[in-house]
Formats: sequence, structure tokens, C-alpha cells
Amino acid sequence: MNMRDEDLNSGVDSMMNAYYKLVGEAHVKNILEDLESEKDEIDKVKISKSMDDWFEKFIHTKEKEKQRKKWLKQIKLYSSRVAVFILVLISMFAVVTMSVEAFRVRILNYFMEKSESYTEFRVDEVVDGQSTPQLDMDQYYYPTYLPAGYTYDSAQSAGNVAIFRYSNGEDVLIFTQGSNGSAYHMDTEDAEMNEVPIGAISGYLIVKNDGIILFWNDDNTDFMINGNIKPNELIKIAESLEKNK
Amino acid sequence: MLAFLSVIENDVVRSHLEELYLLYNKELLYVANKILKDYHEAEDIVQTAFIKVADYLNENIDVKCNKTKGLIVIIVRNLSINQYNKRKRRYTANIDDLVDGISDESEVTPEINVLRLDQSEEVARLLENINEGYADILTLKYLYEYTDKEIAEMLSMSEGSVRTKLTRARQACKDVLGGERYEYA
Repeated sequence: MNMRDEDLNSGVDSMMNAYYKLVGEAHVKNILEDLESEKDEIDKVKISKSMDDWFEKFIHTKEKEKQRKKWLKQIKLYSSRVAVFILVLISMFAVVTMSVEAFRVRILNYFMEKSESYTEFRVDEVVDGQSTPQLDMDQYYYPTYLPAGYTYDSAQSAGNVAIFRYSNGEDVLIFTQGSNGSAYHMDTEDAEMNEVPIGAISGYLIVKNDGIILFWNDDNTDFMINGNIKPNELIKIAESLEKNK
Repeated sequence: MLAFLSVIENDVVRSHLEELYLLYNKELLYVANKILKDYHEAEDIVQTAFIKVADYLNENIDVKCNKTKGLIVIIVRNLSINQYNKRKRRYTANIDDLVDGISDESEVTPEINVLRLDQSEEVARLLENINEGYADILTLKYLYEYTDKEIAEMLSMSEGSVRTKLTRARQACKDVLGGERYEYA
């Protein structure tokens, strides 16, 4: 079959389809004419009550079915709209909130706090609940014993003098060390001063109403600790000193 | 009847269905009863026809136009014939005998179609004479443009039967146009 034959057959098919449609129209016309010619007989037909009742029920059922479909369609439509609305609302709140400076600062602080906590944790872990002060001095001493609750807080150095600060959150302990010859000025007014042994050497314990000071020295260094703790605790701190390596 | 008409709501399809029922219930019962000769069976067929046609009514349909009326009449008529054949247990054997006599190779030229365009009503009558369902199924397919599946659902038959009947109806139409049966018109 060549192209011309195919085109011809296709054309004939199209024409026949159109003709079938024409026959269909004529057929409907014939049906209606037949019915019209039998109109007198048709008018005599009685519709029973049972038939009307059935149709009423049928219509009611279709109505319910249609309402249900309509309802489901609306739910589907509105649920997607509500979802979009909520998404837009959340986005708007996020933009507005993040544009407020106080909020941004709070967020920033949150991350900083997290970061500080991590740093503190890492430092505390180094030496059994204590810390090793980091100073620019070649040699210094630090206590390896601290009363319960006290941890290293900060350190300062100036020349040959170093000051370490420890805290339990409320009270502080100040540990000061300096090469022999450094001058220390202590307020001993109304204070009670006693000589106490610190290991093989001795020191002076100065007790005042608002605190207690322990002062002692070895061949090279003078030491002083002041705080608001029991004397024996101060002595234990003093006895635990070690030199950095 | 008036009681339930009073509760009609503004639902387009529902009102179309009710309008169809009110306008054509007598004619449909008449068509079904004429074939089945049984009023109760005819009622059942009309009810079935409304159930089927309800799914094919759209909002733009004109209930009062001849095309709509023709559609539901065709459905009722075919359902009635099916029921009649079931009852008589004859089904379509006699119809198939008629079709067997029709050549499958009828040559139809465009000229023949042009010559008989104004005689389509006679052609439709001839088709009905060959088989009551041929003109109906051609009409559903080419005038109402329903798919084979939709026609099968409407007429309570399988899609295969629809395709077979359509093939035979087309062949019968070509045969009529070819002149073999045209002298009966």
C-alpha cells in the first residue's frame, strides 16, 4: 500500500465517521418522530406511586453523594490553602522576629553561652577539678588542692608577682606569690595573728572578721592566700603547692 | 411528586435529573413496556436507565433538546432489548445470522456518501431493520461521542460486545450504502 492509498483510506474513514454521525442524528430524529406518532398511547401511561417514590429516594441519594464529594473537595482545597497560609504566617513571624535586635542578641548570647560552657568544661577536666593557670612566667606555683566547690577563675601576673583567683561561685580565694623581697601590705588591725606549720616550714595565719590570710615563704618565694574558709583548709592548700613544669 | 419537587435545591445535576424524569418518564415507560410487555419490568428498566444516565449528565446539558431525549430513549430501548433477549433466552443469535449475510469487503466510495447525504434517515431506518441496536450504537459512538467503555456501562454489556457490535454496525451501514439492502428503504 503506497502513501496515496493510505491517504485515500484515511480520508474515506474520516468521511465515514462523519457519515455515521449524520446517521446518528437521523436515528435520533426517527426515534422522536416515532414517539410523537404514538403520543396518544404515551399519554395514557400512568406513573405508579412506587416509581415516584423510588425516584425521590434516588435523587436524595445522589444529592447526598454529591454533597459528600463536594465536601471532600472543599476540605482538600481549604486544607492546602490553610497550610500555605500557616507557612506564610510562620515565615512572616520569623522575618519580623529576627529583625528585632534584642532577639538577635539573645540568639547570639545563646551560642556564646554554649561555647563558654564547653570551654569551662574542658578546662575543669584537666586536673581533677582544679585548673592549671597559664601565665607568661617561667616558673610559678599553683595549688593542687582546693576546698570543695572551688575552681580556678583567673590569673594575673606583673613582673615576678602572680595572683591566682579561685571561686566557688560565692566566695573567692586569692593566691599570691612573688619573689623574696616583694612588699605585701596586709591590714592586721583588730586581727589575730598566729604562727602555723606548713609542712616543714612555718607561716603566719591572720584571722579577721571578714576573712583569713595565710602568709609564708620558702628560700625564693613569698606566698599568701586569703579567703573566707577554715584555717586548716588554707594550710592544706598551702601544703599542696607544686611548681609548674 | 409535588412534595419532593418542593425540596429541590439549586443543584444543577439534580434538577437535570428531575427534569428528565418529569419530562420523559411516560415516554420511557412506554418504550420499555412496548418491548417487554411487562409494566413492572419496564419500570425496572427505566430506573436502571436513570441510574446509568445520572453519571453522564453534566451542568451544560440541555434537558429539553432532542439529543438528550434521544440518548435516554436509546439507553432504555437497549436495556429493554437486552432484558427481552435474556427472558426469551434468544440473545442475539438471530441478529448475528443477519449480520453474517453482510459482506465484510463492501466497497464504499466517497461519491456514494455524497449521493446519500440527504437520505440518512432512510439509512438509519434500514440499519434498524437489520438490527435494532446497530443504529443505536453508531449514534452513541459517533453522535454522542462516548467511548466504548462508557457505552458498555450504559448498555450493561461488555466492552468486547460493544466493539463487535460497532464493527458489525459499521459494516451494515457500508453495506446499505453500497446498495445491497438499499432497495428496502
